[in-house]
Amino acid sequence: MVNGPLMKLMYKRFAWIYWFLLAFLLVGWGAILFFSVDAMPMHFEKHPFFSMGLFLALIWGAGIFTREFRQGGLMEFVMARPVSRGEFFNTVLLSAVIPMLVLMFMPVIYVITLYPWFDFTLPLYRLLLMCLIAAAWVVVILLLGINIGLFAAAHSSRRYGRAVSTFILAMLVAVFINMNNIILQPGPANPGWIALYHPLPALAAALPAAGLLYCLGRRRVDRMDI
Amino acid sequence: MMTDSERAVLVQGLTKQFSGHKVLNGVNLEVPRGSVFALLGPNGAGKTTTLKIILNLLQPTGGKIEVLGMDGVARSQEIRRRVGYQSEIQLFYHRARVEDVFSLCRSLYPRWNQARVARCCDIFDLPARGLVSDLSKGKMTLLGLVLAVGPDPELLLLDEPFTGLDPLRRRQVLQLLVEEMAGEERTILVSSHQIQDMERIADRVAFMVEGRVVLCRPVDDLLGAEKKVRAAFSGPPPEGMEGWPGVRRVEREGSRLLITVSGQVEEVIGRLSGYDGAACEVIDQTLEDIFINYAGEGLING
Repeated sequence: MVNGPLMKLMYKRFAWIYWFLLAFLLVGWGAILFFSVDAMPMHFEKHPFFSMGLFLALIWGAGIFTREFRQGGLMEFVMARPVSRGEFFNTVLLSAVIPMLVLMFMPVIYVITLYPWFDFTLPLYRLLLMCLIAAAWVVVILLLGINIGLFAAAHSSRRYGRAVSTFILAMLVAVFINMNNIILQPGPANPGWIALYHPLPALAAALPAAGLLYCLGRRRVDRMDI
Repeated sequence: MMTDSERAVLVQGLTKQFSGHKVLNGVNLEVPRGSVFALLGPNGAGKTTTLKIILNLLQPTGGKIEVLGMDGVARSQEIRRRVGYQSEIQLFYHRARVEDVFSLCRSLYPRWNQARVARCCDIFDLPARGLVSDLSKGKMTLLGLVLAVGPDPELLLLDEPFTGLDPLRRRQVLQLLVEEMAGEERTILVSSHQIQDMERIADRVAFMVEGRVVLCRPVDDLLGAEKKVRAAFSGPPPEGMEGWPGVRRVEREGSRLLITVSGQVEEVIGRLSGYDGAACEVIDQTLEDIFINYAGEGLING
């Protein structure tokens, strides 16, 4: 249900984000290698990858992704060709999800590549699990952003649509940054590291949310005028 | 009524609303296979909307659409494999190269006539390595046309294919459409404001006004039936001519009358010759004259 040629085009169109991620990775490596103190273990669980992912998901989902569906985007051009709406939605979604997953799994990449020289506070499998849960929630937020973007794009009053979507986005950013502290940062005032100590409920909660938002987005795209 | 094998497109009772505003109001169309069908109408008549619904880019509010014998909504993807479409507004990635756009389309269609595409690029002087953003408006139109003819479509939907073209390019496009595409028994459904060009290439024409088809006929029949009669009288001119069969409009030209007649020219001339000193002259109309009459009058039944 993903269109290969279209996927290739999307990759070319958004190649810059992969270059950005590579630069980010290199800067991260450099910073760890040159500025870290050997005696201190690395606390990747305390680095705000989840927050960065959330920002990226919201901006990407509500802005860059949905631009493809508006006038001036690719949708009219592609839909006049033998590509189904479902294929188009899945392809654009996948092209947005891949760089986000790369970002979310960056702590794992750091651990794998730097373990001979540094100590880390978490074993690899636990870090992998944490990244997986964070990635699942980031995909949920991406899908939420897409639905908001599609609502704003389809609304008859563009100004009203934008105002409402901006408000919703601002609220979401505030809520999820707070959630980041509660879920991922252990501390005396927080209920604990939910993602680490209760990984299955955290993952299980993300899946139906993602499924529901995916269905809503698909339904909107299937029925919308181009 | 044509059979499935005889018609390329069937549109019945098509309606479309945007935010409560009715854009199409029961459109009926039958496009025979292998014909060049011109869809004419003033701005906002609903031509682009009709074409987009045929391709399922817009969802119909009501009515039935059949394209190449298939349901236009349920089997739209299958239909689009066999249809070439040129949009009124060309939407491409501006940072893409022309060859990237061709490459994408080549991989999307089951058939792609690269030889034809290369020949068209040569004729239209389209730079394969050039950026889409560097193309002029006319070149964008030509690129859209090349992309539409590339997949060897059975049905070609063209929405304003002459936008931004100089007379030379327009002639080249007409040549491509008439000699290559229509010559190969493909169906061409074209919406355009270049009525003179349409008169040269179209077999059938439909006039759309305010979201309805008000007239749909073969071009030759239409040109044969729609005439003007200039009449001069030595005595007083006849009264109540607007009520005569076939008379659509009567205008004064000084002491003479200019009568627009639809279909019953001989009868009208026969009746006029019964008046004292009546002198009649039959004037042929161009498709543009006929279009202006119909569009100007607003709503006339088909």
